Amino acid sequence: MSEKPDKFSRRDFLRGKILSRFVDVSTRSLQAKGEQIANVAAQYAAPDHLTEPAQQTQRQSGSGTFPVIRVPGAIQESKFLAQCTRCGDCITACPHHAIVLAPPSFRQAAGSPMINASQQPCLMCENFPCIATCPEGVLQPIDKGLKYKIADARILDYNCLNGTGRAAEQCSICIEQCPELGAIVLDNGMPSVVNDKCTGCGICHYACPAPTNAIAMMPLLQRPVTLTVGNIPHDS
Amino acid sequence: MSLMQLDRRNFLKSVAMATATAAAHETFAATTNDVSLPQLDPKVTDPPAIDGVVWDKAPCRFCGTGCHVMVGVKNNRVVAVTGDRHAAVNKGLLCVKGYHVGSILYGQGRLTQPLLKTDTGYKAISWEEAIKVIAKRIIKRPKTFAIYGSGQWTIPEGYACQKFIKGGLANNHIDPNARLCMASAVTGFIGTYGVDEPAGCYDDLDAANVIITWGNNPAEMHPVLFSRFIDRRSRGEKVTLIDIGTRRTRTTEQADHYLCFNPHSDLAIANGIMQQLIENDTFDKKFVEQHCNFRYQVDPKKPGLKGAPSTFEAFKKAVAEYTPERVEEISGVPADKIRMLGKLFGRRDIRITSLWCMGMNQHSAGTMINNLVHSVHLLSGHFGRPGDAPTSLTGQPSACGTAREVGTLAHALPGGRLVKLKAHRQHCEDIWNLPRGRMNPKPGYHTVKMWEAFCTPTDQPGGDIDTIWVQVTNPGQTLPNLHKLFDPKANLKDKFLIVSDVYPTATTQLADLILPAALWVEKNGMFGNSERRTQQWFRQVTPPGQARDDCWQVIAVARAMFDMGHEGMRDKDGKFIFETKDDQGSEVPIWEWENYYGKVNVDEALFEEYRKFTRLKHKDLAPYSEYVKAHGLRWPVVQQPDGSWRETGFRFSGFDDPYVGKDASGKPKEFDFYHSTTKDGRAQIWHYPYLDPPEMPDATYPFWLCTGRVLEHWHSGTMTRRVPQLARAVPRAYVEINPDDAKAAGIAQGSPVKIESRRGSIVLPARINGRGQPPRGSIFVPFFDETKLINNVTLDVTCPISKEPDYKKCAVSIMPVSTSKG
Amino acid sequence: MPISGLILTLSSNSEAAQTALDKCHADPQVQVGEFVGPRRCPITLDTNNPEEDKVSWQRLQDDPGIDFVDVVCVYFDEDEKAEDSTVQVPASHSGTMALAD
Repeated sequence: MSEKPDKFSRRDFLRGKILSRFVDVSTRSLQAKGEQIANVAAQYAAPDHLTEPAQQTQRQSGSGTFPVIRVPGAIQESKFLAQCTRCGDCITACPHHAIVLAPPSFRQAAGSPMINASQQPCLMCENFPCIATCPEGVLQPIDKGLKYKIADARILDYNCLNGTGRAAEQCSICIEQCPELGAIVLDNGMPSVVNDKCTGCGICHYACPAPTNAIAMMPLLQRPVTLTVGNIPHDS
Repeated sequence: MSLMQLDRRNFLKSVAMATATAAAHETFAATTNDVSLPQLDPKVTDPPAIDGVVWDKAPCRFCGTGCHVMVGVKNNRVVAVTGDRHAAVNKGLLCVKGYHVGSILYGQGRLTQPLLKTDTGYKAISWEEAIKVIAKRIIKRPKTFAIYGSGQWTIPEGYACQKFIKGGLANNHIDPNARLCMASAVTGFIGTYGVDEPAGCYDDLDAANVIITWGNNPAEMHPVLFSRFIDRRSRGEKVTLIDIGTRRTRTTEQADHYLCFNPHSDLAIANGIMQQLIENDTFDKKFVEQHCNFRYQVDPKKPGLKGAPSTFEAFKKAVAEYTPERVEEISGVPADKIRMLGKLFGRRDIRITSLWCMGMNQHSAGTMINNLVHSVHLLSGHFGRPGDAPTSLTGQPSACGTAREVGTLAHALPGGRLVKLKAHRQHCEDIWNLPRGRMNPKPGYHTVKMWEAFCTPTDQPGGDIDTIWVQVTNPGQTLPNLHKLFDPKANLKDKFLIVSDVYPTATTQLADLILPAALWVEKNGMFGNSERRTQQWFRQVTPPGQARDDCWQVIAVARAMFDMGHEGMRDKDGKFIFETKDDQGSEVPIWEWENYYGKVNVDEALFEEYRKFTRLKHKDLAPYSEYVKAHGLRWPVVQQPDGSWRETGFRFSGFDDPYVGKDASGKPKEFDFYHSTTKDGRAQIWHYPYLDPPEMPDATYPFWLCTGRVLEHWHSGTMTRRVPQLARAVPRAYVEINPDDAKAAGIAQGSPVKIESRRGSIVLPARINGRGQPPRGSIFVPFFDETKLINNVTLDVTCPISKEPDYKKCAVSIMPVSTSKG
Repeated sequence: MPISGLILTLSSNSEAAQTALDKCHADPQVQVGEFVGPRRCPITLDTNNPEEDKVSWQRLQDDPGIDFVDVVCVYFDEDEKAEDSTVQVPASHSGTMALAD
């Protein structure tokens, strides 16, 4: 596979640079230019407001932010929770009934709009009626030439029919159903997600026929994140 | 550790927790029905001990491979399914359908009550009423009644239907959907060996050096069998796979050679291999001299099952014209590849196994191509040693066990007997204790004729079937040319359609009476798989609502007719034909549902009676109790001097088959075709010319249409489309198109395409470069989707001998459909 | 220094399940998360080396109060000592980084 892990200096990591890869609102203007350099820069520029990792931990564990897959265009999670009025307009606007209210088990996110790909994945409509209808602006449109990313698909090899060594056939449903060409590829007999191309729509998770679903959808901890249409240049 | 490191670990932990929590949420939905308990490695683990879960064996409900599963039951519900590692067939492996087989019981919309059609819609009625409606209808006109079943009947179910209609009603109108599936394989085996079903078994796949798939895609359709081959390869063994097909499939991906042929020209390829064997003088002279005769069809356009005797010289002359170049011209397969096949078959130092399924059976010359492939193996002597076998695979779990062995076909009687033979009828009358001469000597209507008669007004000639009882199948979706063979029923008020099923289907839509049936482990049962393996299971949960066993339904109707005084339901001593006694010798009223699972095991009683039929063709079955202990046994199962029962892997081979005759020195012969049609212990080598198929692409309909299955769905999808994981994986039918054809026609990936034949049309989304890739000029459509009935388009022409329709080829046109409106 | 995110499926025998859960709460290596449904519980396992991780995982697996242990992710952090060396990070936009499973 060409998309092999990048190498980061550990020091960079500890300085929080990697966290900055979760491109935030503040960097969107850079990305909007759609230029490769700007795009790379956006990925690595450390947004000012990013907190120290320790504080981040505080927010995410225990009583912190609950990981949840949001609607395309959702702004940064704490702002989203604070500003979304739970009016339900995006739920009504979604032609595929993919947007639901988070159940009580989602704690402080309960009652806010989310996508449960197990029930209905996001079909990434062409005109995004969910965003168009949002009166509070917690769903923000992005510029042409970019794609929304709402989550990351993760193949759980130990559940995948191709990885368990117990199913008799080669399964390729996730690859067949994935609407993003090249976002899931077969790597040595196992499906593998190319994160730079995966929009997190959840169709693969929805379609996975393994006895225990082999694709987990990982909510983005920082948002919004966008993908350029076509290949994302690779940093060296 | 430094503070920074601790922070970092805390951070990683929080991410790990978030990830695990998200995954728990995501996988929760998939596991809430509990059927998909996490799978353990069957190679090392028996079914897990889980509180309150009781495990028992059963064969998988789906295809003819006959994998064994362990079924975990808790609180009268199937909660887990796992591959059975003790089973020789699958050694713990399952395909994706098998993993979800437990969920078929719990799909949306199970039928739970008998429903009678009235002017205002369906009305729920009691079983008593439903049974009475059927009994009255049959008593009024017993000769125009027909039963349509399938290879999904359990052995006792099929046997009870056989006895009811042929022994009780003296009417032979019973046919299974297997007619649409393996009838050509049957006639091929009979025409060649004089007796049905493969001589070899799955062990051949472990021993063959070369595996040839003839229009066959086991990688998707029999994945567990295909995995044997993959396994051997991954262990470093050299096994050559040659795929002879009309489109590229998953099987092709693994093949060393892919021979893409023009539909129907497999006849020329088989002839071409034989021409090479003769030309190179590499055929097996000893085998042919000692074990074979030659056979041909006097008039190839009017072929018969047994043909006429021929000679080696005539054979030689007949195949001589099929030179590699001539075969290339007909089939499109390069002459070199034909030479390569000829060379392989000419080698004595390798073992060759041929596999086929619907590609050779659903063929307007199905019997003939079956005969020719057997002939290739016989002429080259690639027969009867482990790894040397021509083997047909079946699509249904008991196509062999029930349809073929119990003989639920219009012309057949149990155990390989024939309706038209007086001695065979008398044998049945003896075993069933019926008065002499009761049974009808005239074969009943085969599938296509049965439905044609049902769809013709009763007062018109050829309209002499007015009631059909459908069990365990879905003809409203699977019959060819539905506009002609099924839909007309809707406007024929005096026709009556009874359907026993588990879910609403395309067939129940036109039903006058719908009966809710028990499914799989909701009833006792026995299946017989592709390799002659008879399997048994016990009921493990009770069916939902008022759903009841198909077999009980038949017995209850028989009893109602008995009570109404119908003579046919009595044997010659005046007793009920399904009389069943308990250990103390008193009769148990098994027609009352409360007693059906009580003092007697009805399956066992029916099976023990059926077993008496199985010796004639040396398909001996062991007592029921032996199957309870085993993971299936391959017949003939013969009792040994020490009282044990021994199964047979390789039929007609002296080293394994106890029925092979002895030579002068008293040792078993190497081979003995002891049911030879020529009564001399020899098999038949056929010659038969390539003739054009009845419909070929032309200017108006320039494409070949082939139909078939996909891995995730089983046949008409009644069960698999109700398993969410399978339905989501492959939700809808589509049409596979060659990229160049798509480009030429202006068809984009996923865009709708109209497919039209002389019989009907359908619109499906295009699939370009999917799992299957047809060559230019061909398209492929799977038939599982009841919302997209491709059989409105297919052709209803059949093989003249087997009467099996050709679903694999007809001429169509394709056209992009404008999508201006969404 | 592996950190794993796991999902426990607790036994339907509630007594054994409670015992197993109590043990997890008492275990400094284990952090217990929020239940998803009645029996599925995400946890993290923080150990000093892969061997210890394996042993702890096995211990959970063998616990009569736990039916199944699903591994969702494992973070290996092998270069703890050498601050300047590089770690392998997949090109990911998500929060799941440094994955080496």
